[in-house]
Amino acid sequence: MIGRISRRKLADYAAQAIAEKRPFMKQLAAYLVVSNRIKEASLIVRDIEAALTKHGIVIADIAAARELDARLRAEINSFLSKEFADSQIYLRTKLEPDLIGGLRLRVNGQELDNTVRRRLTNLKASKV
Amino acid sequence: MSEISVTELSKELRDAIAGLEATEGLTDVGIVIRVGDGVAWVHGLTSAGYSEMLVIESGDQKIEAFALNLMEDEIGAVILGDESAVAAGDKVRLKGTLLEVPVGEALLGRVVNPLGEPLDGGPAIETKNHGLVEREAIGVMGRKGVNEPLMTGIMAIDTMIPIGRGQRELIIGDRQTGKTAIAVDTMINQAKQKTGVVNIYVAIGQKLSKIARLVERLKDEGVMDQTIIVATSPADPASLLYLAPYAATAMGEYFRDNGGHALIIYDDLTKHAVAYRQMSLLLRRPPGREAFPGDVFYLHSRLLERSAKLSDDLGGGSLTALPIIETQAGDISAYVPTNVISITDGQIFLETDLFYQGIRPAISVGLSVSRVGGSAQTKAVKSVSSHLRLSLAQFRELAGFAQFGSDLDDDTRQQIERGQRLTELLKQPQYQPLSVWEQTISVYTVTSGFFDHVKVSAVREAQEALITRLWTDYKDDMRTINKGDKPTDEQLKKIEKVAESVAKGFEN
Repeated sequence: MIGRISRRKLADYAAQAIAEKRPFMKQLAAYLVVSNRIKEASLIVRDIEAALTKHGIVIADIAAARELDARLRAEINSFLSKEFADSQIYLRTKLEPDLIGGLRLRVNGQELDNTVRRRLTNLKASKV
Repeated sequence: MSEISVTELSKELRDAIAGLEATEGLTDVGIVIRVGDGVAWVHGLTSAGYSEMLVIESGDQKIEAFALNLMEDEIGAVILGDESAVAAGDKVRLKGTLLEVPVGEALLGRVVNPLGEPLDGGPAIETKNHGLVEREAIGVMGRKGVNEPLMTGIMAIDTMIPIGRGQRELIIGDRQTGKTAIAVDTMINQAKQKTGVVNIYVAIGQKLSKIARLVERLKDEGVMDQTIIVATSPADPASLLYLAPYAATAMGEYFRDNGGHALIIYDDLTKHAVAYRQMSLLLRRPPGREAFPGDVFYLHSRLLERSAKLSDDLGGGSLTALPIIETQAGDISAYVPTNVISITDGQIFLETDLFYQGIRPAISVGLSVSRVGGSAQTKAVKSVSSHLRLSLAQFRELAGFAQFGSDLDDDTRQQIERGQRLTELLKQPQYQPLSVWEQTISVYTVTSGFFDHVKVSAVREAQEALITRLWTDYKDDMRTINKGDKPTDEQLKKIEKVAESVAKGFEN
């Protein structure tokens, strides 16, 4: 019987393998199948992305209501470079029109949410 | 939605905008991966602290929770609001604070829940002061020995099991033995004697009808103005039952830390332990004895250590605790009762047998103790009560021989008859606490033998007559005794004179 390995340990192992350019994906997939933890796959991916930060690889998800222009992308890159010095930054963008305006940035288990939708939600929640 | 005045609409809108969370920079965020039974399991938030407040964003709602299980892969957060609004996938953020409740004079006269929200239909509590629900107890050097009495007004307690300000005295007994009655009478006495002590009554999982009756009674007795009631019913989530005593203690600490005196009653800690057991099992913590988690002792010890008498440097305030524990079939050697007995500074043990014999309050003098003792008694009561416990102990030894009345020697018969009269004297109706002077003259009269020829069934009537006569004839002397000073020989002579006269009217 295989003992349970925590998601964090799995993520650290995978992140190290990526940084060292070692193959690991099949191993990880096999472990998840054998230990009946396929449902945790998306959580493990999130953990891997967070763990990669320690190895100088930063994956940032940006959601906006409209396409980002080059200027905005450069600003975001600059912001992330200051937050994560000496790291390679990878941006993943997604269009979400129901954000109305502004953008939402997710990186390393943290979030910066300046969308109009969130401000409206906060307004409603504060029961004005 | 709050009422908005048209003229203040602009200001309210500006205030609301200013109050909105401004996200400056990156903030930790997690997601709910599953929720059920009042617990939300959260992925992420690796920097969350133990007991830190979390905010779950579910649609338009923000539901608060606090982190109780910090595990490697996830956090177990106990939800404080409506759990049906929380769904898997909801975002969770750190609030950056520990749980706080409003504290201060604004709470006096109010009935609130453990989060400080009003339950009495009144306006929201408006106060600038907040207290931490979980807080470390005062250290050794910040404390002073208990030296001021907290008069309960119940003669059996004030004479033989005296309670002092800053003490923790456990009230323990089976169901329906009068535990809450003792606590309520103590609260009423603080108002009647104008002691200035603030009462805090914590109802942990109590029926709402019982809480409503209590509120009515306290209003009728004029006590509610100096009382705070923190109420949770059996219908409330276990998280609120768990928080109730800690939140109420934070409210009491406000008065203690500002030089005042407060009395806090936890009714009852057995239900509190059960609620904590429920939460711990749902958080998948390993169960121990009787399925309680391993830290059930710490649950109550850290709560009760916050009740203390402060040193003069810290203002000399106090927080006195009367925790209540319900036993099953009189078993005080069960798990939770023994835990709390070892934490507190004494216990008042109520017995079902005594209750049904008509001895109410049904206090077992033999098993009850106050570890503070005489330092917490007024000189007046102390001077007359030293013989009381001994006389009752001797009576208990000889009680079995009472049926052989005619075959006993004079001394034994006298001890039995004295004991019967003392037992009758110590019976006290509910909601009628006695003042210091009333207790002093009553006990002195009976222990000195002045009522030895009064019919046992007439002892209480004779006591009332004695009190009335003394108040009428020697009011100033009684006022002096009421301040707590030991009665002078002259005062004792006056008491004896009246006692002899009263006794003649009730003799066998």
